[in-house]
Amino acid sequence: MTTAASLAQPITANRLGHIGSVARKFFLTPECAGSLAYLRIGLGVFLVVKSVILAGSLLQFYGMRGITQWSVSEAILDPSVIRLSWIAHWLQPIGIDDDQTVFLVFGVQALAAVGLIIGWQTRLMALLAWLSHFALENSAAVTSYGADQMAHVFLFYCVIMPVGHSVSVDSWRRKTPYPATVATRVVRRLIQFHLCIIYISSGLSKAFREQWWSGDAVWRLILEARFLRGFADVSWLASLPWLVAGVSWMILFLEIGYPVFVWPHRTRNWWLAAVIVMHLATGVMMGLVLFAWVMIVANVAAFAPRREVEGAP
Amino acid sequence: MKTRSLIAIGFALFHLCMIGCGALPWPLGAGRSGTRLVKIYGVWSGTAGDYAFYANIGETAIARITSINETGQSSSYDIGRTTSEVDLRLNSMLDMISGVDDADSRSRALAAYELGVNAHAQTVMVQFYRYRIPSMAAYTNGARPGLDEFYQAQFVRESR
Repeated sequence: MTTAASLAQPITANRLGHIGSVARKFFLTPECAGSLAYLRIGLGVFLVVKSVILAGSLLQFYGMRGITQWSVSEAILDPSVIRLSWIAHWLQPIGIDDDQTVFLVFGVQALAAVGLIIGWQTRLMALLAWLSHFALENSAAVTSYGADQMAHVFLFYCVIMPVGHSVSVDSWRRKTPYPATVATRVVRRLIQFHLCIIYISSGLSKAFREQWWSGDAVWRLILEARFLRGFADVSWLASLPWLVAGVSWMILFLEIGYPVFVWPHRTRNWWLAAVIVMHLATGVMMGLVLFAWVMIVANVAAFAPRREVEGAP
Repeated sequence: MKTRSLIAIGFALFHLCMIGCGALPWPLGAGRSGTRLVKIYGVWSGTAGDYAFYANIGETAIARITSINETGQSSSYDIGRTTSEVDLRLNSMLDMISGVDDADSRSRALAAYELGVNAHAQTVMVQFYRYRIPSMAAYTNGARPGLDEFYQAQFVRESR
């Protein structure tokens, strides 16, 4: 006689087996590192552009006696993190002073950025870019903002991920293509989950503020952009509060919905496009172009269409 | 499965936990939980940060620096008022001012820099302003945005 328990056992086992195989396919399908080249090149471009913009104000921002003296910025740092004063101290015995240290570290960052873009000695260049960027931003911590924070996060991935395996001098010199690996798949999934956490965290932190529900947050951003940054006068929006609130809700929906809608094939491209438009809009309106660039690059690298060794979700 | 793959999986799980802790934000290494090494990993890897970007849109701040030279002539300029990357960063510094101690520290830094680069400046005045923004309803009723001074300090070059 067949009992319910004996029937349930194989069904549960089959279902678990199916879930296991889907999970294995999702996380462990060997993958080529193609789309990671976007991250490497994009971050290289970010560092080059930032270097060009800040080159004229180098000592103003990063100098020991700059607008934020090292003693001011470094006072708020975790004691473990690398900073320019340490490097200056190490270089002092060979006759390199504080200002020269700033130029040297900045030069290393610019060189590493070019190395990242062309993909030459990629791992070493990623390491140098990550360390020099970290040291510079730590010593000017009070003037750094989201773009620097996110660049640091994704430069760390460049150090640990095989970002030089395609569209690079390294891959060209190797002649034979790099093999697809499980490790590449795992770390790319990691970036994808990281982006999901970033957006949902950002969205929820906004959702706890009344000003994002009333539209006041967007209104404030618009007026700030107008008054401080010379953005077009759209203050007539005050007479259409429902429209401003609608834009505000859309931002909340985009960010909170990201971890849900970025995975299914049917909604992925739409969601990515909407998120990119959101970053472009804030980039143009608030002048956060570098921040927008870093986030767009990360999104494209994480979720762009890619070549699979086997089919994958 | 290769050892390398297993290492990658283990690392990814650990890193993901760190990202979650950073986003919450869990006070790693603050004496209540976590260890110092985990905190160091979080800071170096960038996972210790939270992502509450622009959650609270407050009143942004700008600074006005006025230099007075030996003959009593004065010149002033504002910082944090354009879309340039340089001004954005200065804006970021000014927006973080909370309380008199912060304002004292920032104004000293700005004055010291001005006295350093402007050899003729004998006196430097630093003023901080906040940009007041009326609500949409108040704006419709005629209220307009404006700058409110919230801090002022004067620094005089010491004669040697």
